[in-house]
Amino acid sequence: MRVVVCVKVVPDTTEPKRLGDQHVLVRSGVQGAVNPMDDYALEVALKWKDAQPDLDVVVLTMGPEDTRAIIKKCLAKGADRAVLVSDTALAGTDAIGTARVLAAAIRKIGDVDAVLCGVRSSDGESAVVGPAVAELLDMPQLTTCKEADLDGSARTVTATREADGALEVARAGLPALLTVTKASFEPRLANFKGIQAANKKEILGWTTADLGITPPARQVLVTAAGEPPQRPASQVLTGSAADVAQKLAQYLTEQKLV
Amino acid sequence: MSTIWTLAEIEGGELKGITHELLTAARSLADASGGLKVGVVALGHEIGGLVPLLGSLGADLVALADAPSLANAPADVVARVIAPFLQGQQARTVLLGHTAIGKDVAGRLAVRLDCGVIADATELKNDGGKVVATRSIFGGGMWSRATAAGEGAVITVRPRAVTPATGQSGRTAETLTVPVAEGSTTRRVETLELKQETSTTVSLGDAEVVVAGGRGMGGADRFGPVETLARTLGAAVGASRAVVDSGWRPHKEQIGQTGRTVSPKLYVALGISGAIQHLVGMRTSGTIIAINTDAEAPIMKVANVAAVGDVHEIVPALVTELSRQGVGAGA
Repeated sequence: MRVVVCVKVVPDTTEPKRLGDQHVLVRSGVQGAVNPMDDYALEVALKWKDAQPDLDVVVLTMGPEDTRAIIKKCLAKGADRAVLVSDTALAGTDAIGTARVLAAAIRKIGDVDAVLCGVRSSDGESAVVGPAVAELLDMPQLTTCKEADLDGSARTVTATREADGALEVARAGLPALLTVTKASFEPRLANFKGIQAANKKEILGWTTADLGITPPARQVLVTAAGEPPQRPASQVLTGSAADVAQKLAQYLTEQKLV
Repeated sequence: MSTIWTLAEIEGGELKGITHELLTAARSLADASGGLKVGVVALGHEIGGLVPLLGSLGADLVALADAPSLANAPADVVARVIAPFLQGQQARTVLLGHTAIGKDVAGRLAVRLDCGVIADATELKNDGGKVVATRSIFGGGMWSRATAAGEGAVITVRPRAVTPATGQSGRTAETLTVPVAEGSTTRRVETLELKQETSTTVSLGDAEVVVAGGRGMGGADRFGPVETLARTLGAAVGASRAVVDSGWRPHKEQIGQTGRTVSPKLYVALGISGAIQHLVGMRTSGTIIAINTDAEAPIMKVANVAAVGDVHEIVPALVTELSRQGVGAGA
């Protein structure tokens, strides 16, 4: 069986962000990391592989060539191989365009039983790429999963997912797409043996031509960007707890917040 | 532009708050564009009774997809049922909530309508006949404005970003029927179990007020002030990553990068230092109040009011003071 984990390399949260031409995030030269939610998606796949060692776990990403070093970390954790779709024509691709590229790559990988994605990226934060990939591949989706079990013989996946103030246990037939949120477990770290093994694993490089698609036209234009207006300086309250509490209560009442 | 379409969210036969907000946003866009219509698509079973309410909230057209199988339909079914209808209506702008179901439908619907998605908009404006959406990006560190490159886009609107207008009881809406093709409601996802949260507290996503606690509370058994103040203010309880990772609070309460993003009218941070990963999840809140012993903590810089002191002393005094004023009495 084969599972594809879609991974995005995002700028490290603590790094200052810069917008370049056409208000597109400058990614080159910025310290990158695997999007935290995608790390949970990879962990779900690797847990499946722990139970079923012949499971083929393929990491799929789209980004500049210099994301290879970061994708290698996914291989060191235990993924079998990786595909990097890299094409200068893809710079600034919007969410649905990204989904079209990922879906084309998943078709080319072939015989995929499940697709796992992080629920959202820490930079784009749209949370729509996963569902769009599912639609393009005509797969059912289970979103915001906290854990998931793959049943190869019944060809189903059963997940516990967050659904508007409730926890839902839901089952879908394969092939299916899952988006994963922060789970109750922590993603594993690569060990020395894994890092050694990763050197022998393959990161395939594909272009849009290899996928047989033209780079998706941008369907969303960013027309302006800027810094938010400064919040007025904080009003600082000090003194005895009773004083502070009284001033807070007064503020809440005056601002009609209670 | 043509009619501005929205998707209603229905739970237990009632409209959810986001529907009011979407109709308010659509109505003001339509009015600013000079006489455009507002449409709303509603899926469910025996939902015809909602038409007068949807009309009074600003809809000119109410399109009903009414079938037993459409109550709480999953995202793939919703997209499959409404996409052909919206295409038939030559819909350009479609507004969904940036909610659990809204996010799930948005990507699928955009693929079917062959348009882009602008996600998590906090403000919508009409600019010479085009809808321009403002979003906060990099966790509120910057904003950007986006518009459709082509004729339209699916736009998800952040809950509580729009103040819902009060309905006009005189307004009436025309009812349309969304054809439901045979086979289009087939479900590929089966719910095996639904564990409703048993707590009576307000859910984070819908909350107008959030009271959140951090490591400064001092321990899992020392969250009393957070819960008491939340009860007094009718607020939802939130938590920082540090306390969720320590197992003091459940992940569903986590606010920030690996938790939820909230934008309530009032955010009260108790014993939270305000790491960047936390700030990205709450920075767009209306008013921020922080109580912390450390006057230099980052949260104190983004707060409108920064109270320096021990939460375990200030909060009980605040609750007493508020109840003296009749706030939270009987709650």
